[in-house]
Amino acid sequence: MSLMSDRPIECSQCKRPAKILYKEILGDTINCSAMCTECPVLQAKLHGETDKKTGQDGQVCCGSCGTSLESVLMGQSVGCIECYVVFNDFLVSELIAADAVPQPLQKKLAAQKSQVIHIGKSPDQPIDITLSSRLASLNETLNDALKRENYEQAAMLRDQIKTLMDKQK
Amino acid sequence: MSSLPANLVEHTLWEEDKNPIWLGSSLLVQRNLARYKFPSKLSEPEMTKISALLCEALQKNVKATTTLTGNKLSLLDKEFIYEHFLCLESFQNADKGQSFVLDETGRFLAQINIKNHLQFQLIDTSPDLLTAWTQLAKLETEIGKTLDYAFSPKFGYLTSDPTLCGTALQALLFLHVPALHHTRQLHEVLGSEKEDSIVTMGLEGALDDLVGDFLILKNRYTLGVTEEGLLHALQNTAMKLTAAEKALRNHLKETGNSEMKDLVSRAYGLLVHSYQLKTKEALGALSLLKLGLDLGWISGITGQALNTLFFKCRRAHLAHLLNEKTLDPQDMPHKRAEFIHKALQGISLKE
Repeated sequence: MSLMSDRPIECSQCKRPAKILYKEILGDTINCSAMCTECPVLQAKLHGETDKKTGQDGQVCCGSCGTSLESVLMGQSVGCIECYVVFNDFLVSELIAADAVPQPLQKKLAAQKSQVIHIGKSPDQPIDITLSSRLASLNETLNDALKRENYEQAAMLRDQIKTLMDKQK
Repeated sequence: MSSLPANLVEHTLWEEDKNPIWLGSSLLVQRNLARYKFPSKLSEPEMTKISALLCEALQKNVKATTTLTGNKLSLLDKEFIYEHFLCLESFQNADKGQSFVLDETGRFLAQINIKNHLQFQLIDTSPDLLTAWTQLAKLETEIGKTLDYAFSPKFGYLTSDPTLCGTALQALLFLHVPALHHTRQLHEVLGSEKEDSIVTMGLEGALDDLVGDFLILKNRYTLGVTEEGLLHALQNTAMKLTAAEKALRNHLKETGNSEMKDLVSRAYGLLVHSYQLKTKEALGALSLLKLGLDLGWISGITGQALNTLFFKCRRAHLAHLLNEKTLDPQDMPHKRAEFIHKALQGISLKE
């Protein structure tokens, strides 16, 4: 593997950051694996395979692609657009647990799982970033930098504003 | 024989980049087609069909494309693409039905059927993320006119990894911060300047071992944020960090900091006299040399030439330059050292 392929240590079963080193001694063999605290495999190892929650939820599958909830719990990918409907509530909980949505939204979502989360562009809404809106945004940042007396940053912002103004002419 | 276009092999991203701190950015947008299951659930014939569909759409909208299928690319070529586009995840196992579409500039890459049906990627050196985003979004919109993307009003654009849905946009910003790193001020500056919506990491992931002194800023959220909002937050943080690095460099230059001069001198010695050099060692030393150049302690080379070396000393780039067909890990450190010696001829350290 080349240099940039090395990522932070992740759970050997899921994709979450590893926090636990699980050592299993089987006869003469010692197996070490890095795992996350929430990993269902770790839970099963510690509390037995018949963990009630995993056992019950594991029955749920997507009718379109066959992806099981258990595999999604293990951090594996979802298989189709239907998965987002079938596992809707679970995915919302997972997104909150994984800190994959901004904090203020997490509270709203925890209270109401049907809440719309997406606020970005949609397929029927073409992107249109005008020069004037970008200038307004840069001016706002410039004022902020000046307030904080960060003159290095302010100088860079002025350069960017000037470049954009030249483009506009 | 490499199947990569000559232009890609000959030119690196940062070779024209004159900015000593903000080196570049990479924008990645994931999309799936609504009509089909996601790649992990597709059979090979289904993947081939989707790949053909997407390649055709891309060829209509991208200038002078080169399409390469996974099974026809050598491992070395795949690693070259991975290095050139500063990718975060490897695609060495890409096979039939999985493709890569590149444009003539060497800045655009589309990955087809790797994790999602389509990943658009644009690498850029200008310190203006919104311009790059506008460019990428135009292409994404054009392709979306003929092919329906998987989208839900609640979760946004649907991705195989649910934590990346929503905008499905990941923006990475590469900053070169040797002064902050080596004076151990980086964590303090990050603590005061970084927004919570931004993740920081190094080329190898961990921030503690900042390979080549490259700091990567990445958006933490793809969902619950707007594209402009997340790019604006990144750009804002990058500017603050750039200003901090710049101010520190000015201070080091004025005071002629002896510790830093020593680090730069040692890096010079390592690069000019080593018999063997590992990638990580080379990147670390090149970084200090680049800092030395900016501070006026090194002469006989340009910042752009050093930028190019950051790419060329990496395994697949080096193998391509030396016309190697395979990667012998035992030979590479010596070949890397030899290559760097030649590239640094004429360089001198000011007393």
